Amino acid sequence: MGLQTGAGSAIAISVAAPATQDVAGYAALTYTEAGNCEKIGTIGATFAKTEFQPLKGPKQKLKGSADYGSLQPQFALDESDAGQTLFRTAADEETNALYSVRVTYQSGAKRYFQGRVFGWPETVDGADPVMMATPTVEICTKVVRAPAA
Amino acid sequence: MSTAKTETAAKKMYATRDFNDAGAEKAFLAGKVVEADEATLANYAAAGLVSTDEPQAAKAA
Repeated sequence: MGLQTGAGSAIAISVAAPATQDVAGYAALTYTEAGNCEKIGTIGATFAKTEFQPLKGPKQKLKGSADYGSLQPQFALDESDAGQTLFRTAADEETNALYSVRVTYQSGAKRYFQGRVFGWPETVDGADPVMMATPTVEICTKVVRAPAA
Repeated sequence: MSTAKTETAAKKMYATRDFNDAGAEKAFLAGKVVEADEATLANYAAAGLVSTDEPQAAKAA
């Protein structure tokens, strides 16, 4: 498969933790998909840039600490949806418990990680727009990539 | 690092309210037994959607 769009992509969450931080570990879990998802967000780590400018020679650039990033999925608020309810539970969690997250692309490729949900803000934006929920999911482990089958 | 709770009893679980599972394309009615595998029930239980508490109406029947 070449290019793909976001259509058909999905995000799902699990309370269980993988036995191992690899495709097998994550694939063994059971996830609950969150319905009415409009956007998932950006997945992937970034690294701090550490620079050193010697008196002689070009500037040297090193990779510093990693930040596994965060997602801000957008859902049309549906209080009867099990996946959304579990995301909201994760947001209400007052401990640092980790939840496992699976994102499935149109191609069938998957991205897995563990994260914490920092809030479940709900937006009422006028008479016509659908009410939305926009949680922030902070990614706390390396993203594990599973290619399309 | 701590992980989210995964405990579920190996008992019947009842829906605490009406809810839908978009991925499984299933809908559940409040008070009815939720038939699903243990891992799925663990997710529902963590979300407060199922409970081992038998609804009052079912007890009376």
